[in-house]
Amino acid sequence: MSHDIKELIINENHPLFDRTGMFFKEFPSDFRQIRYFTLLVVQKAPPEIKEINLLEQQISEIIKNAVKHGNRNNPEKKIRVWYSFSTGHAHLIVEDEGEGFQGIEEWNLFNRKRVEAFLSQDFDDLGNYVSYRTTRSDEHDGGNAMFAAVEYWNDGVVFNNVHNAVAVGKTFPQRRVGLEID
Amino acid sequence: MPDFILSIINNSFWAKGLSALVLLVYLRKIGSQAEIPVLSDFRRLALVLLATDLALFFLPFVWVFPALQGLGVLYLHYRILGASSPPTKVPVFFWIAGLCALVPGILSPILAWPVWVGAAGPAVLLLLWIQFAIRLYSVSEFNTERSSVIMASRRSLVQAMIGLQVVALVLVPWGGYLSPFVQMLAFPLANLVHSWTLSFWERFVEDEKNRQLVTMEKNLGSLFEFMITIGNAISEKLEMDKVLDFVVRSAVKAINADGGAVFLVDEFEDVLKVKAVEGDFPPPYQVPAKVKLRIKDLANYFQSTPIPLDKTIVGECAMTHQGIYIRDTRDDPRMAQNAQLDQIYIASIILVPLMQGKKVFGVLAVVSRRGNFLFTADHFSQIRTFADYTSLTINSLFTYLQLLEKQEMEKEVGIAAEIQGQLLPSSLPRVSSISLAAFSLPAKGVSGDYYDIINIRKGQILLAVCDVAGKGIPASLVMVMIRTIIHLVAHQPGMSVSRILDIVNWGIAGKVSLDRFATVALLTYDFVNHRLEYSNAAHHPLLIFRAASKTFETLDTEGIPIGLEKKTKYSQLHTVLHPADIVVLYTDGIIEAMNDQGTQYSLESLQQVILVHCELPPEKLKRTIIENMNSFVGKAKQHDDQTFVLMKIDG
Amino acid sequence: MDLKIRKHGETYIIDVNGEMDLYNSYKLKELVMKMLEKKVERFIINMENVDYIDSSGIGALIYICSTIKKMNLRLMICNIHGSVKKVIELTKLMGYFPIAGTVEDAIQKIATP
Repeated sequence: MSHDIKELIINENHPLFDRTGMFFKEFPSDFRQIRYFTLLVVQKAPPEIKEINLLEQQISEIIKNAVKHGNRNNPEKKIRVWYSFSTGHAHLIVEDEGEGFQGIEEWNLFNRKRVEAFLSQDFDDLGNYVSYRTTRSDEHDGGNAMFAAVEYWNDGVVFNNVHNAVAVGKTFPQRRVGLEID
Repeated sequence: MPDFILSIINNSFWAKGLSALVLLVYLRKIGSQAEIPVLSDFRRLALVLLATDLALFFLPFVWVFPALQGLGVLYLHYRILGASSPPTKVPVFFWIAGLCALVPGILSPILAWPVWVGAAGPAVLLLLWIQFAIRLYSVSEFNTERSSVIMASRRSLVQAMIGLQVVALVLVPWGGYLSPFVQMLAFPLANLVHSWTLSFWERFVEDEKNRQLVTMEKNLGSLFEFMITIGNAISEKLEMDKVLDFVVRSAVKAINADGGAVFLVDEFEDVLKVKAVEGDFPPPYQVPAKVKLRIKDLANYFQSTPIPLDKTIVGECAMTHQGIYIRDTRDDPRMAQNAQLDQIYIASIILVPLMQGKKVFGVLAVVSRRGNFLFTADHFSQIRTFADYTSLTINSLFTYLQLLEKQEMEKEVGIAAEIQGQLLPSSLPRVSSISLAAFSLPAKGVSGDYYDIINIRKGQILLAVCDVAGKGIPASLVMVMIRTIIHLVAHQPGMSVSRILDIVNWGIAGKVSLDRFATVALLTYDFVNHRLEYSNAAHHPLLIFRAASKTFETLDTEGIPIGLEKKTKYSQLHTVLHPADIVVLYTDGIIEAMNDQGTQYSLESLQQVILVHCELPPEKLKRTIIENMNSFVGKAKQHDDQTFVLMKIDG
Repeated sequence: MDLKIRKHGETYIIDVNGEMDLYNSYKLKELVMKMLEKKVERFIINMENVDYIDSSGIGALIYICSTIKKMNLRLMICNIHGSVKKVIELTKLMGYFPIAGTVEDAIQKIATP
């Protein structure tokens, strides 16, 4: 059973950056309101989506990154959020006013080593890769949000050229009970 | 006495004939009742005995016929043994030796052979019987079906046959096979052993039948127990996982297996996931080298690794929807990975698919890890029965859970809508010098919006509009809290709108669970001095239409939504209203109402409608606004709750 | 989120109630650090009433886990379910954290090294 290691992509022209048909909201970069903004966004998701808690949490991580790391919690700066949902898909684009996520390649490398440690069930080695930290991380940052994000958003996690906007998409598999036999 | 009769009495035929007759009668008796698998071979045996004895009677040749009889009988016993697996072939050696035994006998009347040539027959047959006896004694429970009857009957058979040949050999100087002692006593006695052996077979078949009955009763018993306890498990806690735990535990217990597991086809992907494990169940497939082979790691790996539907023996069971019964894994190439390591050794395995109608939705598997305990066909059929019942139960459980989920959703919407129905003002207060109108339409059954109009005291009125974040019951409950607090404090003397917001926020913030955020806009209007005071918590600015200049003004105060931080302090603004002025409070859903092209209704459109129809009384204006909005939106679905409140100063 | 402590012999059980998010996860960290100062050696973190956890919460658990490991003390995390379990699976930390099923399981496992 094979494992292909997921990566962060940089591609401004990726279909996930197509904003047609999406709702739009702009928010001040107020750290206290991160979960509130998330709630406003995820309110639009149809209730039929399973595990909406998880969707909410994943969205909050992206908004938090934009507010905290992108705009450095400066309420004067804005984050712009595009979002759309259906029973089969979730699509989100978040843009901040910062200089962008600098170490994407380093992050990809780090993640690769992490996944390899996991596959060989070497938990001691895995311990070295549980948290990705930059000079801007503080003690409250878990450093693990993107690891989950890159697995969760199965349509991709894509950055623009400046790396200050991220577009993510998820396709929810449709549900069925049992397998038809011919 | 006539010589004829004397000769018959003296002839050994009658003694042997009698023993053969016994066998024949016995065969007749059994043949009509039971289907003993080896019956035909025993019939042939009887025929061989009779034929050779008759031949000897009419043609007292040397010892060809007794030797022939011995060979024929041995051959038939090889066949009888061969009826049980593994099939036993008559060795080539048998034929060669047999020939060596017979040829001298056939030729002896022609050639004058010395007497000891007569030893050839018994000697060769003795060796052949010893060889057969070794074969018989290698039969064990594990390598042969019906081993019990063979093991029960072999002792007397071997003793009799070998004994016969030994006696004949010893008595060669006195005629060997043809000596009266052998003819009159040894042969008949030996012949009786065949009837004795046959009786074992009869008893075996009888026991089989009884055992099948007992097994079936036991199966039914355990099945009923299973049904009752599953029924209890379901009514206690409607959790699939718990029910599956119970299923696998019962299956393992019922057949004394070492371990069991239930796999379910995933609802979304084409994989089988381990849902319940009992006892010691090693992964029944090749485990990647990287996984450490400690039992704990194996168990972790096994339980967390989904199996693609077309891989491994589990996948095979699901795809072919056939039960798989591997009695001994050493015989099956699919379990080849087994042989290498103790930690993953499986001696015997049974897998059955869980099906409902034409769908396979899982696999139930049990294993034995003991080399001396292999599953039998009975165990297989028992597990199949379990699987049948489990399939029915699980399928009903799935359907029920889905229904419940749908109902829960509907129920939640129902309850929330009911709560809301009780919150909104049933009618608008009739107040002199102003006219009011209010509109609220939820998007999907449950509204996140709330509005209220309260007569605080004579000459003062409070308007509130609130947009709660989140959905369902939690959001409704937040609304109840906000409404209650507002109603509680609004009448207090010296209360201002900003203070009311402070208190509402303080009451709601900092509780344990989430979904307690809302934007709120509050205004009070005093009829006497025409003073309006306004405060909001992250809500849209207040829209005021000034009749005199036919322009719009907005009032907005800083503030984060309520529920975020306990100690937030809100501020307020005030202004004076003039006759025909219109005040509008609204929520997102109005100005963000979208049409099919994705364009929003916008504040401008709202302002436009009010401007054009500013002469209308609030009720009519409200309807005009709604019409205008609806014609803009067209057929596009409403995606947000829509609420607005209008207040017009009479004049 | 609130935290309650109870004792079972020499083992301290922390019952976490509510959501572990970016605003309050530090509380759990602080509590465990305080308990470590007081020479507590055996910890069980009971997540039965936790329905939501984000990267800060996971980060707090990682910090607690590695600190306790470094000090050669014992920790078990139990009753993880729902989206909490999902997040831990997505982050591939199922084998990294010392996880038990129920509180009873955790108590047993903590007794046997």
